[in-house]
Amino acid sequence: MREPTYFILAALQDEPGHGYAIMSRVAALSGDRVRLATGTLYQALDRLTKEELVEVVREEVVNGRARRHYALTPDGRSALRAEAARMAAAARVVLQPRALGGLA
Amino acid sequence: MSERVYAALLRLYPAGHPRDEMLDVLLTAGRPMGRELPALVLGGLRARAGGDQPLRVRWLYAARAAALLLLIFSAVSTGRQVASGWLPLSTAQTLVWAAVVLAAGAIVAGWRVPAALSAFAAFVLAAANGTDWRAVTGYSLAAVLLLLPGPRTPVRNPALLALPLLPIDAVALGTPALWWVGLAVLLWAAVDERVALAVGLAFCAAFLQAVADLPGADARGVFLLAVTRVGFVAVFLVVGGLVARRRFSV
Repeated sequence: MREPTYFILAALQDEPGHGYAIMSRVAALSGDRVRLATGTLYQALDRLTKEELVEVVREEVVNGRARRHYALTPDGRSALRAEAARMAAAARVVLQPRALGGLA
Repeated sequence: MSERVYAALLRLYPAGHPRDEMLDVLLTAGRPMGRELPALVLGGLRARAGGDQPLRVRWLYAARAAALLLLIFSAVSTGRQVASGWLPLSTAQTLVWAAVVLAAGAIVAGWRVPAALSAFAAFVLAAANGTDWRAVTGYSLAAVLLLLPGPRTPVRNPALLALPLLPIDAVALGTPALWWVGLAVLLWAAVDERVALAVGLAFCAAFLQAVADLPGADARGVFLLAVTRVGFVAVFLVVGGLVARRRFSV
């Protein structure tokens, strides 16, 4: 899973969010390392919606403009957790080599 | 000022896209316009170019587009020779062109089986006519590419109808102008990599055809052709393949 995708899914793990909220959460969660341009965010949301990892759960009109709220689907949550587990296992190899036994 | 510029650029996106919502995010974020513009323009062009097919279907599209390129290129190439008086205009040749038109129309409409049958008919008629063997090979390779099964995949891209009208020689590779066209196809891969994949597949077929044209014992000729041309062919496939994989990996 690519890093921007990971952080977009992570930004939605606790609650749904609209475009700007997702963008802000991604920047905060990544320590400002991943700063998505609006065009990039919406290409990713479009792709993730088609792959059924994310869904639109609510629409509202703010300042005369439509605003959609996105949420993780069960498949999206599973994919996010699987990727987090994979990265945690990979990190353990480096950060806790003795705990794995036989590597020290 | 920025609202008007963004609103104008968002018209690049098809009507179904959440343009209003994107404008809201752009204005709320208030970032420097230079940072937003590239992704905004690229996203709009990709959405217009039909960027919603999954990876496997994109390769299938490229194979069918390559068949379209080969069919039109072969028919136009024969047409040039007939126009210059090098080849005679016969009823059989007219039937070949009719079969090519049917095959090309079926590819554009997404009807694979009629397209494959028409391409095969063009191959049989051209082989029976026996005047332009390069076109015969082109039709046969187009028919083979159309054998790949899969979902209905219409090939609706005006560039794919215009590209094969260019007089490209797979052996000589033509003029600097054609190299610029090749470069444009590679750059366009950022928006729609299927065109680069189709050109690469069609060049593969044309390259095989050029090798087949060499005398059987001319190993040096094959070697030289391979060394000088494989890279040219491969660059379209490698660039197209990498862009496709990068765009459509989650």
